Amino acid sequence: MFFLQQLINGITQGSMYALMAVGYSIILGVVGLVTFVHGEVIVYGAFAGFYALLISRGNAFLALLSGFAASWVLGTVIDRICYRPFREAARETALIATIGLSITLRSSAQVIFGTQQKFMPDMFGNRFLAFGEVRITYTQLFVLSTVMFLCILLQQLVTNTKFGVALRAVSMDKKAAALLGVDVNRAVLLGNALACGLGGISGVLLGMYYNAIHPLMGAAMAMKAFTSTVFGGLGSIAGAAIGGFLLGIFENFGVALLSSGYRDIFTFLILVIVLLLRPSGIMGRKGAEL
Amino acid sequence: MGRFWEKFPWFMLVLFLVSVPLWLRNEYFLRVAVVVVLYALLASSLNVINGYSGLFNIGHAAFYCVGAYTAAILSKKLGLSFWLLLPLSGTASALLSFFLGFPTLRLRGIYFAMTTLGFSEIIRLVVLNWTSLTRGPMGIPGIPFPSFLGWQLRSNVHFYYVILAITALMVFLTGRVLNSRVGRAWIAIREDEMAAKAMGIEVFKYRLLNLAFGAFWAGVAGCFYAFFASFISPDSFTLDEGFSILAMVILGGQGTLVGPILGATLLTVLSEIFRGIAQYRLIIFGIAILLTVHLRPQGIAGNVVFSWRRDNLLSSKRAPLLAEGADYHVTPS
Amino acid sequence: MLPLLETRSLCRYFGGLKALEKVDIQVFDGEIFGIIGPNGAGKTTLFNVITGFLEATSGSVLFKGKQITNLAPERIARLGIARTFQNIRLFKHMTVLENVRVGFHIHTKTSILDAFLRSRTFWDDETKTMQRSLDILRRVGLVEQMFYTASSLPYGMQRKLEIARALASDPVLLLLDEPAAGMNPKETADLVEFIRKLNKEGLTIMIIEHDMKVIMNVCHRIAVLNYGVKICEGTPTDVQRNQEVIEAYLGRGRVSFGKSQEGALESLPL
Repeated sequence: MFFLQQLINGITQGSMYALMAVGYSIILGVVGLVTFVHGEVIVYGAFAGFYALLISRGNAFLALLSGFAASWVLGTVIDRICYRPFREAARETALIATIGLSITLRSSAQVIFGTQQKFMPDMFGNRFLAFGEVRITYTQLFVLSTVMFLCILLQQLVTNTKFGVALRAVSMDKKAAALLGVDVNRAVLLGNALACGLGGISGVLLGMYYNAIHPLMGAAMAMKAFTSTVFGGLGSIAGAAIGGFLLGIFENFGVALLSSGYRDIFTFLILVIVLLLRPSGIMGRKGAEL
Repeated sequence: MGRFWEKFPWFMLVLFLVSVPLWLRNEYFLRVAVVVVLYALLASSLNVINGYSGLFNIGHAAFYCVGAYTAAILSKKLGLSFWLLLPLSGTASALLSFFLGFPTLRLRGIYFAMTTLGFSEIIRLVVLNWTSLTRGPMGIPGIPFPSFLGWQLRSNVHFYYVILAITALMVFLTGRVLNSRVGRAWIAIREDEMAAKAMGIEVFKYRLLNLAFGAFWAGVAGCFYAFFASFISPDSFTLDEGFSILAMVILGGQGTLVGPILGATLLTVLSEIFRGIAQYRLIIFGIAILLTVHLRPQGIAGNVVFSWRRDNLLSSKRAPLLAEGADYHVTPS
Repeated sequence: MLPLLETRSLCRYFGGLKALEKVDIQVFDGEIFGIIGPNGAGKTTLFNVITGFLEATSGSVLFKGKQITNLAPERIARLGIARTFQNIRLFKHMTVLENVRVGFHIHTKTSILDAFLRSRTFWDDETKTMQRSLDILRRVGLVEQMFYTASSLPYGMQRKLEIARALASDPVLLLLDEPAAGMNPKETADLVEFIRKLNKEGLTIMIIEHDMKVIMNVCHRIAVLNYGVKICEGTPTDVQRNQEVIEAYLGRGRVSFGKSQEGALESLPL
């Protein structure tokens, strides 16, 4: 059935958006800022994965790892330049810093990686499982399972480890956390790096799924992450994930019915509609946006 | 006399700018001069939004784009004159700003900021894909030269004086607005939204007005650009364009009248000097923002005496309430 | 007599936290009404709900007999209710004079077009706001600092400026949130005088305070909140003698009965 197929496509796509949104949401919570630089983090991770694939001749896990590592490192740099120095300053200052850095990274990406798309080969040779007329490609399975695995891992990390508790404390009240002995700077640094690492992985997955990555795709990806987070409700990581899945599903249906040139326009429309009707998102409390 | 001395720096500046074509004879440099003033206009229009009501717009290219395309399309399809199209393009951009502002301005500033990012790209995509109207990636060529009282304006010098007049008008009007109830409301909103509300200021409406005012002038700039370059395409209105303008505002100093002009001059001239390494241009702009934020967050012109935020009542004939010579001004943020 | 401001069964919950629970208050025209209570009792929340900054979970707020529950703060300001904030919220980068001028916003009508053209309306508004701002600054005693940037003022003057700005909107009801916080005894005494003067000129005032000297000396009636509930309402004397109030502040088992009870609240080091 057409419907089921689109649903599967949408969920797979949504899973990548969910991963982006989760990272974005973690930064929102732990650092306390809306960051403009997450899109570029995704791009750099994607390209790291691309080169890893090239070098390792198709080792998917190495690609994911490289993406994670590259974005992790980038995350620490971001913390040093944009977050840490402005912890006590006006909010706007850090925001402008992230914009400045995002502009720098974006243009640097063009210089470093060239201005054209890079093609990533299909990891699993186009193989798929068929259930009647519905197909799930091996790539789709890979993407879905990777995201699932990471979500479970993250869940465990946040609820069952000391680090996770520190992260949650810092996202609720930095001063209180500091008073209780949490090294806030370190927690923010690691939390941000982790979130960026997740972003990097999502970038690699994007490349695997679409078979192409582009150095300027950061802005579009940032919008996906932001829209997913708003959709699901700012302040809720689970919400961000759900928002990502839903965004993927809606987008896919929209694109299937119209045309793929309008994909990003669709995302934007969803954002506007959510903002008009229920700005607190699906999981957010009413009034949480004010 | 006091009034004259307050405005003296501006008079000097205008005098200087008007004199430029008299001693700058090189056509290339004249063209650069036109571009500098054009970006001064764009940066000033963005500064109205970013510097005066607590908003943060990173997608200013969208308004610039709409202005340019409105002018190009109406000029080619209906043959409307340049002078009519200036306000028309501005109005088109202002109207568009309502679409952006309406869902987002009631909410926290970050929603607006992120949405402007998407908005900028969407406008470009729409222009790119709506080929029946805009000829898509091929752009619109052959926009005619404007004429003025029978003269055709085609040289750089002509365009220079036109853009200078437009920009001067904009700065002048902006100064007037800032020194009025409206401007005070804007600044109050910027300084403390809650307190502004408690004073009865309708924050949402004033933000919409502020956004529309800034968008209007970006649209006007777009119209000028269309006629100056005679050809426009979506490539001129990418996100990067909006980022460049933002960098100019931040480097020059948000919330001051002269800051964006300084920033525009500096960065435009820099771009021209480093023309050969054009692909590094935006990298440099990004770094410029980072440096500004770390070293001098108020920008170059922050806290400079030049500010127009002086209550003109002091030297006004109509309300001689205070002793002449008392000097004060708001320290811009 | 119809109260000027009235809250009926006003509730405000934050999830499970009952910040305000069925609060009934009546403030009559011309009186100075105090709101006291331990920290976290819900006093500022009450102000925030009255002035529209927070939504009421249930219950209503009436001003001059009309419903104003959940109206936008801008509209409530236009109705004649002005306020100051617990954490001073001045327009930091504006001068003292300009801060006050902003207060006149609802009484002026220059539009953006008027500003462009410097029309008659513009000049009328500018003159009016200028003159009246100076008046208010004289009343408050900030004329000398007229051109100072608001953030450069010492704390006590900043508080005065906030009050001046609130007065600029020519309110019928003024809500002061801890106006004496951070003031030394002389400043506090001046403040008490000033509040009395404003009240004599016809202004109804509601005041949240921790400084008992101020409250007991200046208020006609007081309401006491504790954990979001109104536990007492009455004259200063009534409140000082009320057992529940004393316990709320001092806890059980530490209260001494007898003569010293009258001075119990006044001597609290709050």
